[in-house]
Amino acid sequence: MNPIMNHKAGGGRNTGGFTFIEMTISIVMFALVSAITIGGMLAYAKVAKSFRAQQRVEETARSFEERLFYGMTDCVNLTVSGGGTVLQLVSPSNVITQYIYVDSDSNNDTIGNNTLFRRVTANSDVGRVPEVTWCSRVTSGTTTLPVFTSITGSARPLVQMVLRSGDRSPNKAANAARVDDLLTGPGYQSFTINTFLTPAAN
Amino acid sequence: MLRSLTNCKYSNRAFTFIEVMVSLMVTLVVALGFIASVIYSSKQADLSRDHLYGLQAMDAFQGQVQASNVVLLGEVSTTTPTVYEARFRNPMSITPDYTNPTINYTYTANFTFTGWGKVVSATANTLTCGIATNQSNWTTNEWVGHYVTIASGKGAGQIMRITANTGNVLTVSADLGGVSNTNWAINPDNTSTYYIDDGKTVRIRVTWGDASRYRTMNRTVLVPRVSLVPVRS
Repeated sequence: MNPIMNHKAGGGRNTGGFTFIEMTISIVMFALVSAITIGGMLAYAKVAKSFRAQQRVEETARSFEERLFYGMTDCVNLTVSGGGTVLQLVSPSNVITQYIYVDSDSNNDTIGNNTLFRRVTANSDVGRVPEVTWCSRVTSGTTTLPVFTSITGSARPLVQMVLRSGDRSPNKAANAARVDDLLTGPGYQSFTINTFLTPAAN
Repeated sequence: MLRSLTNCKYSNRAFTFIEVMVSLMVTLVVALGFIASVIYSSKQADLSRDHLYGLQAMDAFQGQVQASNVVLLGEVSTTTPTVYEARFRNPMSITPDYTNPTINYTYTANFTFTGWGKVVSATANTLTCGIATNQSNWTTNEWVGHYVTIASGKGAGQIMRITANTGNVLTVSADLGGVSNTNWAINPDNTSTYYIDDGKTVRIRVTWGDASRYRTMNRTVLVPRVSLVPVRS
């Protein structure tokens, strides 16, 4: 008979199962390692979600800025209207492109329905293309700034654009109240577009 | 082997205190390493965001410079301090997101103007240039391949390709078409003015960060002397 299977062959307890103490220690250590691992994975998942949300708002802002700057290379004039919510670009061949900021519920805090669109037809919202979603106008003190502001004094038309992509505020409680976190996840995922535009076409 | 298993001296013992402690320490080190990697990743994400803000600040400053009246841009002695272009004489700052406590510094831009001025003298294929006030001399051969235009005065309208330069002297031995060994048709003199690339070159340096993370970004921008873009009235 296989001596391992024969308890008597080896004598004593040396061929038996684990002792109660061994099992208890094993279970405790396994539980400890599992808890740390699972806790770490959950923490990492939470952080990764924040990273992705931050990356999303940054990419949205940056890619939009690049498109806008590219538009400047084929633009000879810029005008602002609609109380600073509409930017109009005019090309050398008189093609008009408009960008319009729309706040569907007139509540700057609810970023879910605030969108910056590009109109495919001048002065018409038919077929408009969303360029920046989950955005809001920037607040300075108690003043809500216009998205587009025409700057005076320059030789060429100059427009400042200020728009926040992502969360409105790093204030956690305020974000929860504004349901920011439902869209972007916990934390402050935000990027503020603050740039100046001038026509570059000859 | 079977004998060794069946007669193993330690087969029925529990873990020793040392073994347990070692196991816990290993687990702790792994956990701490994991947490540290998450924190490090977070810091890297912040750096990436700050760099993006730096890039945006650069674009913003470039936009403002390029909206200038090139005639006044960089001129110190002939302009009044109230003109739009005078703002670029001093450093300008942008605070990217003042509501975010993790960004507690501003992005500051310094502007350097170069590439235009008055002619001091000329030979058949050189141009000795006056360097405008508050500007430093050029780096040797930094303008090779660019074009210099005589904008006014004697020899106005000529455009020549630069083949070499010193701190303030351009060697121009090719015409606009690149034909070499070409001299000035009319030698410019001290009544002439010149523009390299037919505009004013603006070097923008944007800096941000603190003593431990001080970042710099540089960009060279040309503001053309002649533009068909409608000028704001």
